[in-house]
Amino acid sequence: MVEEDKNDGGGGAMTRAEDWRAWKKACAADLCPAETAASLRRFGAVRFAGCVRRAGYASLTTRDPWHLVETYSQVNRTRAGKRYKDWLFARTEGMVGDWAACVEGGVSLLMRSAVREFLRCEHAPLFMVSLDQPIGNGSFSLADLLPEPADRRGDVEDGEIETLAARMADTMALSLSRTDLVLLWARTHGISFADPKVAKMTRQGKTMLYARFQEVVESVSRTLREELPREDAGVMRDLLMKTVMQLGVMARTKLFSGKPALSLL
Amino acid sequence: MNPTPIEHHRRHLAEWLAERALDHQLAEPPVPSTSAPPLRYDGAQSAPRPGGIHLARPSGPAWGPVYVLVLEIAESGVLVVPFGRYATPAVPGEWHSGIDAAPLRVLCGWNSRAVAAARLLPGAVKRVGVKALAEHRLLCEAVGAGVPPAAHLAERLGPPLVHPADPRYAYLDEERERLDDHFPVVREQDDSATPSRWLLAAEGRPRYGSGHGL
Repeated sequence: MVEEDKNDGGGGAMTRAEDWRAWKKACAADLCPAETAASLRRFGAVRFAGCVRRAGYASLTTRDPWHLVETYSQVNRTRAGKRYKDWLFARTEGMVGDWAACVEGGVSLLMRSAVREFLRCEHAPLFMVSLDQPIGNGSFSLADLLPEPADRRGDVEDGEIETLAARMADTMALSLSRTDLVLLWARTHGISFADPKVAKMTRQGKTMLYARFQEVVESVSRTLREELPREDAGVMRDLLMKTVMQLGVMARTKLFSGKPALSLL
Repeated sequence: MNPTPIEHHRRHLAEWLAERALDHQLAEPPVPSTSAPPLRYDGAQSAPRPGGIHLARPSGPAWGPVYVLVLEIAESGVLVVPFGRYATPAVPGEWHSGIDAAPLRVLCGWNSRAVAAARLLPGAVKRVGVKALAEHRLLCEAVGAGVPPAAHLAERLGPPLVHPADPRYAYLDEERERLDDHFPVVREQDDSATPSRWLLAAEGRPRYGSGHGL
């Protein structure tokens, strides 16, 4: 078993409390007693290996992972710029259990950010996303999320798209559940899915709601493409956004009509 | 040839999405914690001043350090704007801070709030200059009001948020929760259907029906 595997998922601390106290007093591991510096470097190497493995880069190495976390975390080279050490120690207040393990937990959070930055800088191709490549688990691309303003019209007038969106929304609204209506209302009216009102109206958590809303918008998009298979992609993007907006307005009416006490914007 | 504004936004959004995906890959499964959140707050600390950058007191085992910039000292508390976790502003309510240090690159004006001084760790980690502070105030006001800032400042803002199924909405909820955990907000019983001001500020629209995006 390699060392990194032994230390994932909890267990005892790899370091000693005195290592952390010596490191807090010193500027960096380089200036600590040799035993402390070695202990911190060993711990840093294990956490670094765990991070890159989770990110799918198991073979990736760096000369000194501990140095990576120190340089990422310091805001500048002065003592004030290293106040993240105060944060690490404050984080252990009120915690029960192994004190050194608590500090290690905080450093693991710092290492995660440091490795993210390391991969961001060292592996730029990761950040090349093509315009039409679906993002994440969804079916929408960068071009959908940020449409070209000129694309949005094509030869079709704005008014025509509005009319078409209203007609399509009229049909689609009939098949929407109450939860779908709440989500459409919330998203188009600046209300978070994490808002207690939304939770109360749907009786579902926000993770479920996000997944459901993705399905709703994808279903609207699919229906529009089926109805207008030859239409220009830019027009379809605009039509989708306007149709969702229309559905949001209709949802508001359905959900709140006859309730004048509700202050609607 | 300079990129068009939309190309510029798409490049930044692509970078942000890739960093976000990487962040999800790096996340460890939550481990049941035997520790209680640290809640001891001692009163002895130096008072925060406008322009100071402070660390928030830790809040539970799940979150990394939260840095905030003190904008002003108000009657309601210390008005702070938090720094974001990523290298690129995600939405029109966030902007490049102009600071190179990795944890301090992006400010999230949409998530600004008045907080109790006792919720900040004593001592500023750094201070920003008078001119920079004035710019951050202008940006924060513009974001809060949903109006575009001056052109030279608008260049620093994140890409538009217009698509209903944009994954950045989940990020906004997560960031809101991260700040709420550090700086608890007293919520009033609210049965009205008014929009969340913070979400509109993040989206960069003043109110529903403004013609911005959705």
